[in-house]
Amino acid sequence: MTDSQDYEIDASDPSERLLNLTLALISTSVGMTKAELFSAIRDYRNDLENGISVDSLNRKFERDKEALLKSGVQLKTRILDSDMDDNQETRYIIDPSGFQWPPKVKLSAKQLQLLQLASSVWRQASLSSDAARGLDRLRALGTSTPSSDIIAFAPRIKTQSRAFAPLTTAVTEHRQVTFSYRRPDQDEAETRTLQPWRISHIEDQWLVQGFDVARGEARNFLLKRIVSEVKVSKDIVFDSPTQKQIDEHQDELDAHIANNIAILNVKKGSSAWFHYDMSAIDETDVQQLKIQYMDLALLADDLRDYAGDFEVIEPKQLDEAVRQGYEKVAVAHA
Amino acid sequence: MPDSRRMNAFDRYNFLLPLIGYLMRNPETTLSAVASHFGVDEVFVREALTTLMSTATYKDFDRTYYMFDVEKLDDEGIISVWQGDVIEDAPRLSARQASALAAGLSIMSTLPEFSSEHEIAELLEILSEGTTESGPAAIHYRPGPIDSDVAVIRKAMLNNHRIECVYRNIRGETSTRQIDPLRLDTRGNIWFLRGYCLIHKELRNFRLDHMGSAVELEVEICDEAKKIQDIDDAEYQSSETDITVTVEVDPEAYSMLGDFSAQIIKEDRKSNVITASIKIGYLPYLGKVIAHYGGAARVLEPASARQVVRNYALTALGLEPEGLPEQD
Repeated sequence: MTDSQDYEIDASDPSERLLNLTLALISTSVGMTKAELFSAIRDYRNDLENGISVDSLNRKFERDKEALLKSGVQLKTRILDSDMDDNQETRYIIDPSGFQWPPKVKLSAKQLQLLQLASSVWRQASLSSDAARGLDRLRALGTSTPSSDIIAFAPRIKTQSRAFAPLTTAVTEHRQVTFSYRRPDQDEAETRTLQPWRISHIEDQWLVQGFDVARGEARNFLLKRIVSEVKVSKDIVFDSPTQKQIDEHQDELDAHIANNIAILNVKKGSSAWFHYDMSAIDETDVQQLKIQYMDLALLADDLRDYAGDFEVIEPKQLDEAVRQGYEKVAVAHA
Repeated sequence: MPDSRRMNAFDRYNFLLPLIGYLMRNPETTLSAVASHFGVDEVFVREALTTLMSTATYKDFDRTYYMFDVEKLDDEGIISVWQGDVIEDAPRLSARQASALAAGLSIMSTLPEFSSEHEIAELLEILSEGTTESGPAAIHYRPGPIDSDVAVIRKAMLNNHRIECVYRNIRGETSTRQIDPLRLDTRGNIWFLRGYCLIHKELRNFRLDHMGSAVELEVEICDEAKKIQDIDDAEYQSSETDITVTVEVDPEAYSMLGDFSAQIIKEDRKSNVITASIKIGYLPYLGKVIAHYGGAARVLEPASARQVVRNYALTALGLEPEGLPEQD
């Protein structure tokens, strides 16, 4: 084996500092003040001994707290009445029972293999590192190591929208967001202010669902129509929505989808016929297709791939949307 | 395999926590077992153990938390926990971690062999119990409809059998094909089969929405197909005969950039319009690709590609297509 001296870690290794902070806060029964932490944790203590300013040490501590919170560690604060406004008496603590898994949870090799596959769907997508870190935590619960033979299935989530990452942060931290949103029937984008509840993938589209502050009701926004950077508020946080609120809103959207029905005539054996997975049920050259849709403009986009393969029977607006799109394309490429 | 040198402090911290949990559950193990369990290299695990041994807090005296038999570790690669304190198990999941994994599981539930089983539901239950914050999931993934051929292909794959199907290629030609299926991929709602094509004698991608009437044959897949070990992701593979096309896209059409592994040339920060180059193997295909976005994606050059797109739109509108411009 290699000499262990090769692996000597720098005493100021930030991951060690974060771990020391975690251990200190879990093992305390009454919580620790900042001053106590600054003396208990080697790296902070060294900083103080080396004459680093209190301000910069405070900033370091804030960043460390942030790192713990972002790791899902429930760091709690207890503010004593005696504390004025300088946070000197604020005590910090981590509840050990909320921190770790109950010992009864065990995962089989098969379960770990499924979770590994579940994590891999994010490869190169927004949440890949979150998924990988979550998987490591679950691996720790594994009773045996899964074999490497894969199930020959490689699903990947597509998240091309840049809005995805900031919106996920906003949803998990319950922060209000603003962004510009461009509806297909409007040329100009509008600014929207939203308390985002969740991000949903429905009908092959990513949506953010939440409470539209200006309109005073729950709304859905397609991520692809967000045309600006998403600004996540630093100060405005909101109460977590209840599952009931979310379910009711989803039911409304589902009812809307169920009511939107388009009827098309599709040429048998055409690309559209294959795409919509139609099968030959009779000898006619044209078959009728009924589809439910969430958004007329999105369906029109999909149909434009199959020029000449179909005819829209209803609704008329769908036919217009398909046509207008072709007209714009023809003009843009004149 | 994550490269320890490229891990930042945050990643390292997030590896140390579950490592502690694992060691507390498995106090007698080996460096190689831990490395393979977490999919990292042994050097990285050894470094992590050094960090664990040096963790300490100070109050009147130094309190250490983790001790291992260093002699056994360095001589035999055996990890033997002498002391383990405070953290006794792996940390629960953050809301983001749980949401990311739950979304992945939802996608997997589209596979025929999992759809009726309880495995996925059980794991989702475990994830929700093991999350630090209770409350609704941050990400909700509703899988799309499954192409009717998926079940047939999966069954054939599990039996190592060949399939036969009707396939309509990018040029719109329909033929009956025999394929030795090797892997199913999804990109959003589009399913791809990676399989050995008996006509072209090589590994090829097949889009399931271009396929119909798949049946499993009572024929085992061929030796050539069995030999294929590593199957790359079904991303578009460019070839020398590809044509490079410059496009500009509005945010509404950004998804195109990922679909074609586009090279970004410039980005206008005010309008958020991105100019990029994509490679395309069969130029007439560009018509539908661009028309899909109804004006949110535009071809800048070459002129022949612009004309292909314009003609696609003109034909769709029932107008006469125009002649191609002279080659430039």
